[in-house]
Amino acid sequence: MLIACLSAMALGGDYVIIVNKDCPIGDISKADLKRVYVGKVTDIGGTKVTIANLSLDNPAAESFLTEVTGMGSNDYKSFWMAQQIRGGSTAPLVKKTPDVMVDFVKEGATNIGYVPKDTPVEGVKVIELK
Amino acid sequence: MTPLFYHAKGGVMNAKMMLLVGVLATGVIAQSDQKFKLYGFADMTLTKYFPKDQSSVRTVPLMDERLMFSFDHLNLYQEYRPNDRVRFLTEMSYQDKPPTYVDKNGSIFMGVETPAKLADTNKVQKGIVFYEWGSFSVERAQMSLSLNRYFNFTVGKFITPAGIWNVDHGSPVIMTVNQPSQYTFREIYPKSQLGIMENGTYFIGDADLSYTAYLSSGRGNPVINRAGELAVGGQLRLGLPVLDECNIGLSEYSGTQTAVLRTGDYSMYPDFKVIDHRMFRYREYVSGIDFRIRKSIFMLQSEFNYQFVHNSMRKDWADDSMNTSIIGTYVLGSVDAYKANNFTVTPYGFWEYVRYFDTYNNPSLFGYPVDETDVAAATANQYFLGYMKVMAGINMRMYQNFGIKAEFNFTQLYQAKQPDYSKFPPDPVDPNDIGEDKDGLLNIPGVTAQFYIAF
Repeated sequence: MLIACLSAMALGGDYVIIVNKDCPIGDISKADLKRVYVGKVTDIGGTKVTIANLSLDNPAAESFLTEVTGMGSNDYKSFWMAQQIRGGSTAPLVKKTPDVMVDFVKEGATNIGYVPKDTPVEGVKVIELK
Repeated sequence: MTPLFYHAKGGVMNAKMMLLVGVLATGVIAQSDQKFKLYGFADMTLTKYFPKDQSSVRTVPLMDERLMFSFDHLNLYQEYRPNDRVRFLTEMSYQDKPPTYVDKNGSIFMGVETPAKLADTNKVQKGIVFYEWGSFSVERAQMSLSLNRYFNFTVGKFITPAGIWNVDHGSPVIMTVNQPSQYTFREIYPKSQLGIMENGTYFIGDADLSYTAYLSSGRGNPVINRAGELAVGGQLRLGLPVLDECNIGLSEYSGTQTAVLRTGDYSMYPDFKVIDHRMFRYREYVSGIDFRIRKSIFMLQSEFNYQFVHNSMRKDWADDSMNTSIIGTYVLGSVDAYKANNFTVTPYGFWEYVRYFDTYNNPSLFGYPVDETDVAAATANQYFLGYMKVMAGINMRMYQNFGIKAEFNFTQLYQAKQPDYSKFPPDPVDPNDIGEDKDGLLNIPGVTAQFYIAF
């Protein structure tokens, strides 16, 4: 079901969470977002999603990962390396710059990402983190 | 068209065709670059043990007093995801083990004899007799289909989802230099199996419950004589939203191991008869519980596993004489003593205890190919009753991809109490009693260092 576009900024650090304009997801709980970013699930509320991280040396990435996953970027990298060696899923895509992230989110109806707060977000939807 | 080369069988391929094939191949490769991934790890160790001069342990490969520098693993993972739902994964491993090493029934065959010789150039020289070292294995080769969070199917060869350390088998992941011996010296669970597996995850509030169930051919047994010989198993894992991590797991496995020697009887020619000689047959049940908790810089991990083996060939004996029991447990604790960007120093401590009971009831478990019905012969083989191991070390990780570990370890082997032959007749002894090691000949201290790289 389509949810009205929310223009409110996501709670938390110096980042905002963005989804495709046609994405049926209106808001996301921190628990659900953590589950997709640590590979436990690939859907949110039954909607299969594709996620991406900003380059992990970006301050917004550090802020997002610390707040959502409870891991700093270095621990996050170690976590995914361990997951790979265990034979689990591989790490999410990485987008080098905020502009590339915005383009990624525009490309797929269920793509999700995050960008620094001051990034122009025309053409995508900003959603709230519950 | 100018032929560029002649095919070995006399065919000819012209330049234009080669170019076309090259373009197509490049196109395919370019597309599959995004969906195909190659990664892995490698590690090497420097080890020295300090057994006493009179200790028979000095004759055990890898536990003698000589300094050993070995390239232990090179594991390569190949992953291909044509779409979001399908995944192909293989893991191939070069291991520093002899090609004649056989993980059979969870035991290790170390005494396969070959003529004495020196290893060829570029082969690892670890001993003049018995075997040459270094072998490859396919750790896993599987295809997975993901339908939703509840139904994910995997077919092929997969790592047994049991405990923590059977899946965490790579040097960049495990804290210590080596996995617990209950997963390496004698595999209490089969390391990997060939079959079909289903797994999924339920969320209960902020907690998650993961489950896995599988059906397989069991512990390296490709021949299934009847449906009852299939192996089954599974795991439940509960992740609780307390501390920084709180994971509890329950694991189960049941399988059958049989060995049948088949011969042909031509004595009634032209009639032909197949004769099967069953060498051994047992059913095993393995249960385990594990947990891992983390809070801030502290981590604590433990497993307890129990294996019960029922010798199916001893039908006429009382129940007690058909069974063997094995328990294995360990505790691992660590603290991130120093953590900076891209560099972590983690001291750790580890204790393991493994104990065998009534091993003479299933001598094939311990590498002794004797007639399973011959109790007298089996009793003679009932000597090694387990061990206790303590390790303490430091794990230093750099940039997530490199690491160095330095470790002190101490192993105490348990041997069966022997009758006092100074008396006649000697007093009977319980074969499960551990004998006294007055001279410390079964104590083996050692040090080891490891370097690993993940890529």
